[in-house]
Amino acid sequence: MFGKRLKMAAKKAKRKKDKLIESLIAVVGEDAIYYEHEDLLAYECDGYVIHKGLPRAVVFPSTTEEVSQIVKILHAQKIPFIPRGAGTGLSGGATPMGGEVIISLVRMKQLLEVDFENRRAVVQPGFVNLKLTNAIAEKGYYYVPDPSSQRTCTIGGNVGENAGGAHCLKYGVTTNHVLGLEVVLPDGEIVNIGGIPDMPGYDLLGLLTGSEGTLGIVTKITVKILKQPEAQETVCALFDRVEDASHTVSDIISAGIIPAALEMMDKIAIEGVEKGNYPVGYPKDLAAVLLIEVDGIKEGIPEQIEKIIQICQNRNVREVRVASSEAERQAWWNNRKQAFGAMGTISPDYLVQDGVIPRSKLPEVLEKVAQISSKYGLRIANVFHAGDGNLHPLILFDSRVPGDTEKAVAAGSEILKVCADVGGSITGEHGVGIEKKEEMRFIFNDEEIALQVSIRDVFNPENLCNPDKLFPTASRCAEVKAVKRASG
Amino acid sequence: MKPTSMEQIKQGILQILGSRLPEGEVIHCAGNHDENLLGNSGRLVVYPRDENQIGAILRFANEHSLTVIPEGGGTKRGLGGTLEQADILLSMQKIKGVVEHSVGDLIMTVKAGTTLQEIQSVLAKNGQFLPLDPPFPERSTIGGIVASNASGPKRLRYGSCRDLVVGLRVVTADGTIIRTGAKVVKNVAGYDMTKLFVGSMGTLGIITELHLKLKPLPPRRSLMLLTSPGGTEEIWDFSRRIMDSGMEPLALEVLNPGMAERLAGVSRYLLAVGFEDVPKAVDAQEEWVRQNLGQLRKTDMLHDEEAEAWWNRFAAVGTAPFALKVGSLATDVIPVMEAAEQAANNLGLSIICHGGTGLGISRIYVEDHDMRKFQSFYQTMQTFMAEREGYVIIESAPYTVRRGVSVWGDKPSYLRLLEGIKQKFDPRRVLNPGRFVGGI
Repeated sequence: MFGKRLKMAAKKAKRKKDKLIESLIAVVGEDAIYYEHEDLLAYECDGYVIHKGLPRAVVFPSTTEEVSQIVKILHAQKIPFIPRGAGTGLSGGATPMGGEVIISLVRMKQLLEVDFENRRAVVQPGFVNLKLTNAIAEKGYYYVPDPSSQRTCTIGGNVGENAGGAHCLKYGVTTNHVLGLEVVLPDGEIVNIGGIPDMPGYDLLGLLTGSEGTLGIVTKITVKILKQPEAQETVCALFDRVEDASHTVSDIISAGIIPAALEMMDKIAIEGVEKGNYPVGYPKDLAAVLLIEVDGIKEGIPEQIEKIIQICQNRNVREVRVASSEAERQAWWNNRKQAFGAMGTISPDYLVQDGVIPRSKLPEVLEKVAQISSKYGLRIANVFHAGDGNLHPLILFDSRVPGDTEKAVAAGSEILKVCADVGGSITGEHGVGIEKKEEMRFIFNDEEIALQVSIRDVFNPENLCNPDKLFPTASRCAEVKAVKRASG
Repeated sequence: MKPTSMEQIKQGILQILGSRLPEGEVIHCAGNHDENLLGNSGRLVVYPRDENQIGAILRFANEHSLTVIPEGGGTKRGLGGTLEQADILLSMQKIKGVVEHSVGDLIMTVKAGTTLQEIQSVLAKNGQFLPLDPPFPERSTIGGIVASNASGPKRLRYGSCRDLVVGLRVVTADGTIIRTGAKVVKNVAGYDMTKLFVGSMGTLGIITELHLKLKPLPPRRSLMLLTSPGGTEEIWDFSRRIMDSGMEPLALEVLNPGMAERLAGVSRYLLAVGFEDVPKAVDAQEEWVRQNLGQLRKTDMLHDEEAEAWWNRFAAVGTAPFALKVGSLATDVIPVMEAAEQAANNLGLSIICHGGTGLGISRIYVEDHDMRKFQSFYQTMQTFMAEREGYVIIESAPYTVRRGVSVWGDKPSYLRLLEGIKQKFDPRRVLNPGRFVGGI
């Protein structure tokens, strides 16, 4: 199916500079568009590499006005389009299904304004996440959401996906930090939303954040910036049994401590990160590592750290240490944040999943993940934001082995079913994209999906803006809706 | 088809509820004088027992083109809407109780008609709380708080409803029961539909159950009341410095002299600074305040229950039927309060007001019952904010006043999107018609 689409798209690409391309060049200029086959190949997929499709063109607008003009042209001709940031998404949200025009926001990368008194910053969508923190660090401020890809991912992309990160347990995810948006709607109209808390009207900011580019294209973002906590301490705890580590997570939360971050890696994940670029020398026979970070008022931290160490000891920790320096703390975090990439050192391919569970179900769910691993005969490394119940099972496979890819996909889906069945969700921060469209049915019934689709129709009635993402294949929902209308 | 007489509607509803309870506990005909001042009441008041009954009532209303106003504790009757009476006032008061409190997950599921006070007392048994501090916690239901996006000064530290509600059960206008979100703190599956209902004033559906994020009860609470002999400049200067320090204030709320008089016995601008944390962290922050007072004077310092008692008095202050809410930049909060004082003086009105210098939200209560003067006051504040980023809305006024003005301020340029959303959820405009922005 995908092969066929690819061929069709390739044919189109050979018709260089057709009328559409010419009209787009008239907006952005010759040096801000790709339309030849070899240039388009890099845009076949995002960080989710299992599905690929060729875009018709990639345009690089520099201003909101250009985005609006591009969208108006495409809207008038009913040509589908996809907004794209750095392409680090992990669910295929920026992957063409075949023939869409990609609107890349990477040239809109200015930091427009920093207002320390009102604790907000205004950025263009292509501005890289970590650059914001770097730009304001001198005055002791930072931007909280810190996805592992923060060195490359853009804040526009973060808004599209409602990105999370390691420090969301205490401070929330992207949606809790976005104050205002300028958006180009799928018909080209430019609207400004929010800016001030509780703006009268439905919470469109909340709806747009995490809508995966299906409701419009974000062209300007106002975000909260926070003062760096006065102090922080990081604890690293090494466990011989995964159950002990998972119980420690629940015990810490139940003791009334909300760490800024609470991360866990299991044996296979540790094997990977130790072979990656930032090894820290974890013993080879470990079953699990917990990284626990507490921040806040300096004087309040020691007793929380003591309590955490005590809890770890009660749960049979092998070794527990407080970072002795900022360098050591950074080393632990670098080691953790490159976990996905490091899987490449122990497996030719890997598929990362993104389920969420109530954290009290951690031991039970890990047990089931282990069963799924042995059922499919695939190794699964577990890396997760344990504090907020966000699991990232990394399913290791070899795409050169016939059938292995399908097995990995099936195992991933089965893990998500386990998460859904304990009252959780199929995605905590990576999004649905094309990857988890069908898995939406694990948590929503047809009517609930139909209602969401109807909200998309308010913004994007012709399904031109990032088409066919996010929702399961329409047929069944559409039928339900039609039946309801007929009977209503 | 609209049944003409109230008796027909009543019979229809009674048939749906099919209750063995005495009729008076299921339904009654409303209309005392107080209710009519603020409007938003109903010709019939109905007390469903569960979400299925709500579904059936809404289907009935939909079929017969009746209007329905959902209501929790009734503390927001003055907010929005031009109806004196809808056909049906659907009370959520019988749909209450904690469904589940998962202590280790810091998550609870609760029915919408439960009051905030009831919720807090259940949670306190396990050392947790729901970090919301809207007005009237003993009467406000959690469904009403979320539907009206009510909040208090502590949102500076803990966030507002949109940050704390992780999932809902909702009955939509055609009687369908839908779920949004899940009992987890992180979730990006599909659109964040939960957010649409927060602050939607019951115009999209009736919230029946909520999944909420909780916090551990802080071991130590502290409140410092600071006054400024000079003027408001020192208050702003202090606010700016504390927000620029590593301190983590719970609230930074400025009270005008009228309100300070009532709550602290001093007729000056006053800044309430709170802290909640482990004792050593609270002590350290109190010490920071002492070191950084500048020209400010500490007039009072309260701890634990006493601090809570003060905040409870604060939450009960807004009883005036005439009230405004202003959203602005943090830097404009004190100018907003001063403009309000000035405007009130010019009109001969007496006001009490407070504003969060870390938040950008101010509330103004006009104590005189003079509709004309109130309208002029509203216009003056709108003119003041027209030159600034933000908005002014009427948070409470009699319905006769609301009929004559746009209580939600200017229509947003993207009104068509809001109307489109309403159209998808409630095409026949059964739920709270005209209650929200742009007459939605």
